[in-house]
Formats: sequence, C-alpha cells, structure tokens
Amino acid sequence: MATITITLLSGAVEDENADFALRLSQAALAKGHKVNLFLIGNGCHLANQEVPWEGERGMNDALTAFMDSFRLGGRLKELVAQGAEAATCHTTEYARGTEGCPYLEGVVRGNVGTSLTRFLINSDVAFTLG
Amino acid sequence: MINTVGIIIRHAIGDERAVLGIRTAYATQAGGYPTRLVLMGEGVYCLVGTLPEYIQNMIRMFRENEGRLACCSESLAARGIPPDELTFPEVELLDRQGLSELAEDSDSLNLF
Amino acid sequence: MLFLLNRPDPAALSLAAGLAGDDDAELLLISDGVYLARESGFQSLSSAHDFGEIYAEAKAVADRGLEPAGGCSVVDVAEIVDIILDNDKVVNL
Repeated sequence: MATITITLLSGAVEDENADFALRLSQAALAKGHKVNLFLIGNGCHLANQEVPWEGERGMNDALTAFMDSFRLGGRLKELVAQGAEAATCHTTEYARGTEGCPYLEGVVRGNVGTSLTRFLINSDVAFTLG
Repeated sequence: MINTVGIIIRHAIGDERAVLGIRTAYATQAGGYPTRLVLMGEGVYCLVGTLPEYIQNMIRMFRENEGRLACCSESLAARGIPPDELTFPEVELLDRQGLSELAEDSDSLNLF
Repeated sequence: MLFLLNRPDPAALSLAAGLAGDDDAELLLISDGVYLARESGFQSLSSAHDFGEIYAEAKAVADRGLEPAGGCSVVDVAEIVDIILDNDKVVNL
C-alpha cells in the first residue's frame, strides 16, 4: 500500500485538473492505497458544501446537464468517506471570503505549515496539480 | 519516502501561484524538509524590483532557515535580466545541468 | 520520473527535458494535453525528449473523440495509479 499526496490548485470548473485528481484518487483508494488531498488556491473551493438556489434557475435541461458535469462536491465527500484525507489551506479561503463556509463532511480546515507537511511525512509520491 | 522538496515557480507575482509556491517552500523548509525554491520562466520576475513586504520577508526567512533560493539562468537571459540585478543577493543560478540535479535531489518536485 | 501535461503545448516539454536530464522519463497526457497524442502532434513529443513511454488518459481521449498515434498508450486512471507509483516522482508541467 502506498500513499499519494496531491496538492490541488485548481477549482472545479476552471480546468479539468480537479476532476482528474478526484478520479485518480478514487482509483488509488480502490486499489487499497492511501490518498491525501491538499486544497489550496482555487482548489480550496472544493471543500465547501453547496448552497442550492431555491428560485427559478433559468437554465434549460441541456445546459443544466452540461453544467452538472463540472460539479464535483459529492465526489470529494465520497472519497473522504472511503478514507481519503482532505485538508484546505485556510489562508486561501480567507482571501476568498469563504473561510467560514461549511465544509463537506470530513474535509478539514488546514494550512500549508501543518496539514501539507503532515501529509508529506508518510507519502510515497507527492505532486502539485493546477 | 519524501525527505527533500523542490518547488519551481513559473509565474510572476501577479499570479497567485507564485505566492502559493513561496508559502509552500517556506512551510516545507520550516517543517524540516530541505527545500529548494527555483524561479524560472516568468517566475524570475519575482527576483526583479520589489515584492509585497510579506512575501519579501517570507523569502528572507526561508533562506535564513537554510532554504535554497535559485533561478534558471536561461530564463534570466531570455528576459534580459542580468544576474547582478536580482533583488536578493547570492541567488543560485541553475543551468540545464543544475535543473536536472534539482530534479534528482528532490523527492517531491512541485511546479507552481 | 513521470511528467504530466494538461495542455497541448509542446514548448512545455523543454522543461521536462531539462529536469529529466539523462534519467528515465515518461509522459502522461491528460485533459487538453491529449491533443498532442494525435498523429500530427505526436512527433513534437518524441522530438522534445526521449520519453520511455508516452501515455494519454483514456477519458480525456474519449471525451475529445481522438485517435491517438500508434506510439501512444491510452491508459485509464487505474493504470495511471500504477504508472505513478512505478515512477519515483511526478511532475506536472
């Protein structure tokens, strides 16, 4: 069993890095490996619970289905439930005004000084994506 | 296992990734991982002019904590930046050989 | 050493060549990087550096309806996990 740490700088939609990181993490967990995700920069947005819009959305079904392909929140929650560790860089959340926004269950408010260095301690491979 | 860290910054200070790379380098060095922070590409502009005081101090503390600050000599030359005009003194200049040694020596190599 | 490339920018590979030096290196194309797996772009990969293997991520290839060059191995994320762990380090270009 190996441990992989991914430092993710990309948010959900700006490119496909976050999607790739989550799919890779899922595959690694399925193989019995351990995964750490450090969410920094725009990556920190993945930590947040969704705040649904209650009113008329004004999007047709085709557009909604297309945009649904970018939504990642549930997948991170599943990864954490399966044993992945996910921590944020709270400093980048502070800069974005989201520091107090509720997290997906199991995601931890963290920082680069303790969370990332703790992840590195037992990692076999660690890389940045984004 | 990861014992040493290489951080390569390819963006100038206007891109958040430059700051994230500098903060990460400081953190890993302070966390006990010998770290080399390398500016290359547009990242070498972080060594020209001034930086926000907080970032300037962070780089200074990184070096005081035995972190190694370097830049790619090709990137400087391509941008007409003379090595003796860099903001920080005694910045290591890495040529191609130096870059491959950096990769060799870093258990984890992270690009920002 | 495994290099990841997520955009169709052959110029990024000069960094791979510099970092890899004489060491073994493999290249994994992900996201828009898989456009370089097309026959017309593949030449630029092999001329940039002598990669031991060049891979393209299967979902990215399928999403774009591409036909990779014969020398490029299409791999899914399960295979990518093994590729990552077989290489001593991973660098996202």
